[in-house]
Amino acid sequence: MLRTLVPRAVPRRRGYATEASEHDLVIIGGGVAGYVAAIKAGQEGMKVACIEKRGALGGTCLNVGCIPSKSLLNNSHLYHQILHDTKKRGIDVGDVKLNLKQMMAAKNTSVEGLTKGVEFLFKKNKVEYIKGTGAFVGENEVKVNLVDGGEQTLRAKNIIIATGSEATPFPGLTIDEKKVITSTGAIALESVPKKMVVIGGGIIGLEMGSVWSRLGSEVTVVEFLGQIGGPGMDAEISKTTKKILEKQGMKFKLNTKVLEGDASGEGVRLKVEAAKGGKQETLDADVVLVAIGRRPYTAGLGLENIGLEVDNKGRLIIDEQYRTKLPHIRVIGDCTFGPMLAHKAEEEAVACIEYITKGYGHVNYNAIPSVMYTHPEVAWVGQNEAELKEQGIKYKTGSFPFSANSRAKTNLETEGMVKFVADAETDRILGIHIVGPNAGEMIAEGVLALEYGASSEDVGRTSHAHPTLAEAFKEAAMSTYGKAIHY
Amino acid sequence: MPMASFCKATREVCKLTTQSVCRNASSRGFRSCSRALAAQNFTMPAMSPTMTEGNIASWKVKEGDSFSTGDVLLEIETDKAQMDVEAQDDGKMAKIIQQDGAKGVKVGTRIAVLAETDDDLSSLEIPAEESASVSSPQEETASGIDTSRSSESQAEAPPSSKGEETPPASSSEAPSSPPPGKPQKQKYPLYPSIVQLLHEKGLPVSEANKIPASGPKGRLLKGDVLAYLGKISSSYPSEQSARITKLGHLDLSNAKPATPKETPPPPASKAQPSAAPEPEITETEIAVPISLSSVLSVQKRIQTTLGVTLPLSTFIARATELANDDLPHSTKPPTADELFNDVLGLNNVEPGRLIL
Ligand SMILES: Cc1cc2nc3c(=O)[nH]c(=O)nc-3n(C[C@H](O)[C@H](O)[C@H](O)COP(=O)(O)OP(=O)(O)OC[C@H]3O[C@@H](n4cnc5c(N)ncnc54)[C@H](O)[C@@H]3O)c2cc1C
Repeated sequence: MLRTLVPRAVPRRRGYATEASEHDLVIIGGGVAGYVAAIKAGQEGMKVACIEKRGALGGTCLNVGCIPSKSLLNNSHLYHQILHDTKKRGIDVGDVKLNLKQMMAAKNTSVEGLTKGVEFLFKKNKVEYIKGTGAFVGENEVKVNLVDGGEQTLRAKNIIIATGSEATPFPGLTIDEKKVITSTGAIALESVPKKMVVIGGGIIGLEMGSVWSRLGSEVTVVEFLGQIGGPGMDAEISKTTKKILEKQGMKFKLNTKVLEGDASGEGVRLKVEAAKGGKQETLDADVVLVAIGRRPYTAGLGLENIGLEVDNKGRLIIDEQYRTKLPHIRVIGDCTFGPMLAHKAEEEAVACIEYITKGYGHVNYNAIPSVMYTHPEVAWVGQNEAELKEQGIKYKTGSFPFSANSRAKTNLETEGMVKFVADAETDRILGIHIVGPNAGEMIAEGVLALEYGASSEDVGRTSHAHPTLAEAFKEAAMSTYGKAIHY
Repeated sequence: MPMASFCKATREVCKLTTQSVCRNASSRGFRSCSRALAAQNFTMPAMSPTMTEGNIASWKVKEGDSFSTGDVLLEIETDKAQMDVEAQDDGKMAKIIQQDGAKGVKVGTRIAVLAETDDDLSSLEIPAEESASVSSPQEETASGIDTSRSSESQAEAPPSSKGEETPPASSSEAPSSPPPGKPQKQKYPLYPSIVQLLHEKGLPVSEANKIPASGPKGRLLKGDVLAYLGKISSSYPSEQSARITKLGHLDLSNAKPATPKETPPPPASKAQPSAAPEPEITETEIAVPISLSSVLSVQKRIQTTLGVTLPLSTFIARATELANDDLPHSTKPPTADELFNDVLGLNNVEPGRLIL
C-alpha cells in the first residue's frame, strides 16, 4: 500500500532550505509516542522521518519525566532507608551523607544512556532523525526550523502529530524552575530546600514530593480534591497511601485551594483556603512545586494553516483510528485524548502505524495500568469502587493486607494491601488496586487478568510461588470469591 | 491461523439511542459468519419485533474504513425511533450498497458488505445478495441472526433469518436476554474457575463447547457458565461484555472543537463591520538601525576555524531571543511556547552556544 520497501538514500542537507523527496511518513515529536511510531514504521519498511526540537529523543518521559524521576525516587529511597531503616535489620552504617550532585549525575547517566539508545534504534531501523521544530505549511508539508540553523521542508504521504504535553502553569505564579518549579525543576534542584510546598497531590506531585521529603525537605502537599493520587486512584487505597506517606513525614492539606502566590520575596508565600470557602491561611516555602496537571502541547505547530481542531482542553480531535479530519494526519500520545501515560502513548504508536500499513490496530484502553512510584508503590488497573457505584454496577471486593503476607513480613515491609473489585454476578474482575511493596510490577498480572476477562476465582486458582509478595495478590483474589487462607 | 479469524463473526448489535425505547423494543443481535467467503453481506437489521423496514439515516463509516467492536456503523430510522447500529466485532467496510437517505429498506435486504479487518478490499470477492446470512453448512457454530435479544421470541424474528441458529437452551427459555456470545469449540485452555464449576455440577468438560461465550476473542468466562447453569440472568454476561468492550475504547464522546479559538473581538479602533475576527494585539513598530559588522566578523571566524557557515538568520533569531529575554514579564502571561521551553530548560542551555 504505502510501503516503500527499499528506502532511498536521502542526502542530509543541513542549513539550507531544501525540497526533500516525499516521505511515506513524517512524525512531529520524538517523545515516546513519536519515537515508537518511527521505529515501528521503519520496521514496516516505510520511508520515515522524525522531527524533534529538544536536541534529544525520548520526549518528556526519557528527558524530564518517567526516567529521571524514577532514578531520583530509587536513589533517594536508598538514602532514606540507609539513614532510617538499617539498624533494626542488623546493619550499622557509619556516616551517611547525601551527595546531591552525584545523585543528579547518576540520573543524567541513566537519561543519556536511554536517549542515546533511542537514537541508535533510529539508525538501526533507518529512521531519519531531524533535529528541529516542525510546523505545518500545507496538508502534506512540514517545515522544519533546524536546531543547527536553516530550515528544511518535508513532504509526506502520512503525518503523525506526537507533540506531547507540558506542565499546566498555575495562574499568577511564574515558573522560574528555581523557586517556583514544575517537575522539570524538581528533578534538577541544586540543593535540598528546607520547606517545599507541592500544589497538586496527583502522581507527579507525590513522587517528586517523596524524593525531596526523603532527602530532608519538609514537604506539604496542597490538594483541592478530598483525596490524593487523582480521581483514578481507589478511595480506600488513596486513604491508606496518605497514612503511609504521612508516617514518612509528608504533610497534606486536602480540600484546600491555593488562592494566590507571591514569589517576590526570598521564598514563596502561598495563600490557601478551604475548598468550600472559609478559613484562609498562609504557607511559606523555599520552593513551590506546581503539579496541577499537564496539558496538550501544540503551540507553533501551524495547526491553523491546515484547519486542524483542538477541543476545549487543547486535545487534538481524532477518530478511533487516530485520524484528524484530514485522514492522512494522525495524532497519538499526550497531545490527544486518553490518559497521559508513556505506555499508552507507546500502544497508540504501534496501533497507529498498523492502521496505516495494515488498516487495523488495537489498544484496549480498559487495560492500561497506572503506577505511582512512591514507597510503597501504588498501582491499579480497571475501574475503582467510586466509578462502579456511579455506573450502578453491583460489585464485590476482596482484599489482603501485606501484613499477613510471609514475604512482606520477612522483608519487614508490611504496609499496604491488594484489593480486587469483581462483578457481583459473574465474578469477572473489574478492577485491581494495590498499595504496597512492588505494586508496580505486580499489577502486570492484573492487567493480564483483565485483558483475558478472568474472574477472581481464575486468579485464586493459579499457583503463586511461596514466599513471594505475589501471594498477597492471589489471596486477595481468593477473598473476593471465597475466603483467603492466611487472613 | 486461528479459526477465529476465519470465522470471526461479524455481528452487529443494534442499540436504540433512547434508553427507554431500548427496554421495550429491545435490540437485536445480528451476525453472519462464513468460512468460505471472506466478505459478508450485512442486511437491514430488525431493531424491534415489529420492524419490517427502515430508512438509512447515515453511514458512520466509509468504504474502506476499518471499525472495531462498539463503533457505530450507521444510523437507522423507523417511524418510531432513530437507532445506532454498533459493530460487535472488528471488521472493515467493503461496500455500501444502500446509501445515506435510502428509504423503506426491508429488513433482511442487503445494505452493505463487510470484510475482515485485514482483508485486502481490492481482491475481495463481493458475495451475491442471496447469500446473505446463509451459513456455511459445515460451520458447527451455525451462523445467521441471533434472535435471543430481549422480549423477542423466535416467532418474532425478522424475515431475513434464514440461517438462523437455534439459540442455546438457556437463552431461548429466558426471553429477555441480549445476544449472548456464540457457543463455540473452546480452543484455549479452559479457565480454572470453569473447570471447577463444570466438575462440581457433574458436567463433562466438553459441555464448555455448548456454552455461549462472552469473553474476549470468544473465550468462555466464569460468568458464561454461571448463566448457562441458570445461576445468574442469561443475558448478564453479554451485557457486561458489551459494557467492558466499550470501556476498552477511547472515549471520544466529548471530542468537540473548542469554541472558535476564543477569538477576541476585533479591536475597537478597527470597527469594520464584517471583518474576520482578529486577535487583539496592539502592535508597536520600532525601527532601530543596527550594525551587523561584528556579527559578520564572528560569522567569518566560525567559518575559518570550524569550516561551517552559519546563516545570518541564525544570528538574528538568536539575538531576538536574547533581546526578548530582557523584556519585563509583563501583564501578558507567558506563551505556551515560552513555558514549554522553560520546562525543557532550553533557556539555560542556549546562551553561549552561538556566541562563541
Ligand atoms: C515528572 C513526570 C513523570 C512521569 N512519570 C511517568 C511514569 O512513571 N510513567 C508513565 O507512563 N508516564 C509518566 N509520565 C508521563 C509521560 O512522560 C508522558 O505520558 C509521555 O512522555 C508522553 O509521550 P508523548 O510522546 O506523547 O509526548 P512527549 O514525551 O511530551 O514528547 C513530545 C515531544 O515532541 C517534541 N515537540 C513538540 N512540538 C514539536 C514540534 N513542533 N517540532 C518538533 N518537536 C516537537 C517535544 O520536544 C517532545 O520531546 C511522567 C511525566 C512527568 C512530567
